[in-house]
Amino acid sequence: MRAIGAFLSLAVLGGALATDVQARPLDAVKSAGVLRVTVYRDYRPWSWQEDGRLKGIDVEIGAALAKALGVKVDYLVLRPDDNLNDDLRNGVWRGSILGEAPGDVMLHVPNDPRVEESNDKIKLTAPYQIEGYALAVDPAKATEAQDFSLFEREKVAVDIATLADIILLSARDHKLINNVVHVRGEGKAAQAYEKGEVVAFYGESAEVEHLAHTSSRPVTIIHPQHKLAKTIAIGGAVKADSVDLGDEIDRQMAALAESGELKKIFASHGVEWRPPAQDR
Amino acid sequence: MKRTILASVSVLGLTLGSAFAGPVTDADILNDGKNPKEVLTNGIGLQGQRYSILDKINTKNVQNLVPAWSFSFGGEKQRGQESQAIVHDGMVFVTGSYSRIYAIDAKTGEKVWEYDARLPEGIMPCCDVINRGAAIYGDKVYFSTLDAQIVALDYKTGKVAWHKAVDDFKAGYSQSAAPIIVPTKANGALIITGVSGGEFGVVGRVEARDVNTGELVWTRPTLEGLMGTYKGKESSMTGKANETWAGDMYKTGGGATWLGGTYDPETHLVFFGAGNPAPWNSWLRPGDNKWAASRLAIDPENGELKWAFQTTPHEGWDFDGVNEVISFDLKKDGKTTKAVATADRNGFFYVLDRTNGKFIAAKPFVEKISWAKEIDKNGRPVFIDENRPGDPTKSEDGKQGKTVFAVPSFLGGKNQMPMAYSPQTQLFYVPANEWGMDIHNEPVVYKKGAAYLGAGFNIKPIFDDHIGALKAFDPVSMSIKWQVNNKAPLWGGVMTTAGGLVFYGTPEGYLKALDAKTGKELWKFNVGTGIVAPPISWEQDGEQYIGVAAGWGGAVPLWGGEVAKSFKGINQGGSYWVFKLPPKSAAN
Repeated sequence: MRAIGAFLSLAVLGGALATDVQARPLDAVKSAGVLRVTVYRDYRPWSWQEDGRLKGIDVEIGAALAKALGVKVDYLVLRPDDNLNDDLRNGVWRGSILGEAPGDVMLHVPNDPRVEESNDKIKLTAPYQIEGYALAVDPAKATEAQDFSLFEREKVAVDIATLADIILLSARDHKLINNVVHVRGEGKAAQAYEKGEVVAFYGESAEVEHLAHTSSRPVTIIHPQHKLAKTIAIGGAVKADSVDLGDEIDRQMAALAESGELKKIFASHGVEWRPPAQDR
Repeated sequence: MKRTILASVSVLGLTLGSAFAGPVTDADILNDGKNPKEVLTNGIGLQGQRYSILDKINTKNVQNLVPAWSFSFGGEKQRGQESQAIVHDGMVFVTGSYSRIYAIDAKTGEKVWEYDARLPEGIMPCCDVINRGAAIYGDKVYFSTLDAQIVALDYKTGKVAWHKAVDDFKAGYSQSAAPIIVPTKANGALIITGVSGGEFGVVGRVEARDVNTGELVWTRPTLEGLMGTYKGKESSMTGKANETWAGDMYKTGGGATWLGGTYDPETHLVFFGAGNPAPWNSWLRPGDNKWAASRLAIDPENGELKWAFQTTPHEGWDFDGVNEVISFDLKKDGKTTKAVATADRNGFFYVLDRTNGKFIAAKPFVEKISWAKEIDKNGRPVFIDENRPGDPTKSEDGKQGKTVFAVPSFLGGKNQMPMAYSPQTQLFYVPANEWGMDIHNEPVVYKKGAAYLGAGFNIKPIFDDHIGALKAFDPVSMSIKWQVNNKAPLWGGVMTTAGGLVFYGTPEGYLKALDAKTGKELWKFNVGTGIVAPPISWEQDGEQYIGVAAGWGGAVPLWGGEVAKSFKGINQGGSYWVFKLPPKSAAN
């Protein structure tokens, strides 16, 4: 059931749970002295645990936002659920079924009006990155990889059940299926490449750039064309009734962009900062 | 010969009475279902027939049934209660939502002990925080927890004897099924479980552990190409790699065994259902994808696969065919066949030869099935190609794509709720649901912050006045003898008794008793919240008791749309209800 459940429009599980979370407008956050930031777990280079520490681009952005608000930062490290609506429920407006409190702001939310349309309990905050798909490939084979035809002959690694995976499985009329090597967990695709088990790895741009910049095997990054490989803007979300908090986060995010802080955070993880257009 | 000896042991037990107060033995387990004083296994007997030999409560007096006691699970954790209780040593053992277990005095309803599993953060239960029940053996009671552990407790005190992780809950594994315990020659009694998982890449397997220590004895993966183990060493591969799967997709191809299994002592086989293959989009995984959406027969001695039967080859509708496999004697044309029956998510009722998995017959048990015309003489569905969900990768950008209406819906003609078989009427009692689903491609959805590609599903009732239907299915004529409709979807299991009765609960909160021959409703009682659990029956001090867990929840209320109208306003709960005849009418 689960496999397909991933794509259903759900009646909200929490409907029956009586504990609705109170709004946390700006003054509540300031008087409590803590900004609770929701980030995804195991999501390198955005947010992941390493040596007992939470690391990553979203983690640092959350810390920078809290600092700008003059409060401490606290994280809800979210386990991704079936779909974004579930994640927003667990991460922003209600909290998990087991009673974990949601965040004041969740990062890495697609800045797509449809998300707000299907969620009247949340408000989107300003985007801070444009994300797309990238292929890290053996430099000698990059030309043949531009149209994915290389992978009718050679192997390519990808994280299981991502859009990148679906793109590879569907590209060239499903002819690549026998050469798609599925891995679980960020970093494994790059390891397979370094060990020579595959000639390329494919995924979201930030992940691919981040892994490629520390790769011991030479690598070229290209962006093969496919109708599903589109770019999206990544932003944040707050509770619908925490409007002034959302506005303040927008202002502080703009200030972080202006000061060069965002660019620095992305660069420190080997990822190019691609600022979204400011006219939303 | 062996079975005769076992039978006489239990007769001795009946006479002495005190024989029941001690540890549960192999003989007790194998004899469960024939011993009216206890319920030691999920399924009221390892074959899973859910048939009680008790007849003190019967068609003539059931209308007098009254509550004996009711027990609250307490706390604020009132979610779906799908557990079948077990009864031993004067105690009822029942599991509750959020991985809790209770021991209750079977006569008075007083609590003896309670154990609440401490659940870690970040667990990911699939379909509500339910649990389907415990197992008992020796001096321990066993159950599975949402963080994928098996916990063994001293049944008298509730103190933990051992616990073992079935797998890493952080990787998306979870457990909710009742374990089964099977005596073997090679390794003594084994506790046998499946795995369930909410994350992509979780693959199904069946595992057997030493009942005393929890040490792993064997594993059997469900998917072709994966290697089984015996005592820590590789044993044999399930099928052949890449025969029915392309590329490496079998390594992450689903086939979860989340509902648990049954066991047949006559063939010494363990039966498990394996769920749907992954990813859900069938266009990305050419081939039959064995043994996802299948039934597997496994040798409990070593975990070797004896036979398998695939109900939905190249599954593409989320017909997660884990449904229970029930052993019975098929008496047809003067011949008795050792058979099994299974009512699949896909809407067809199958009868197979349980000695070899050979297909005998399959017919629909729900109406208006749209994905297949019929099941052919070899047991393979005759697909209706235009009703296979389309390939979303082929859809136009930003458009929803063609909508396909498929029956049954992905929640199935029958889901987790177990059916029952009466050797008395020779009928199966199937808790079925009549619903379909609109499926359309969704070119953009988001998962973990990233763009994704999916399908939208909208479940719809087929009929105006009912979704649920309890059906009496004749496995000889392969036809429905009678049915009783229910407005809301049925989600609790069924029990049938030698008193000529069929007991089952409804989301509307009624525990009902029907005449097993005709379906006529003879008794009902509202427990104040929906019932999504199977009833049981036992005898104590000469009286027959009926017990059922109550508490609305499970997968159904997670889905909205038109179906939600059928259960609007039903409150959650968490309790155990027990009924008996009042002394006066029992004396009649």
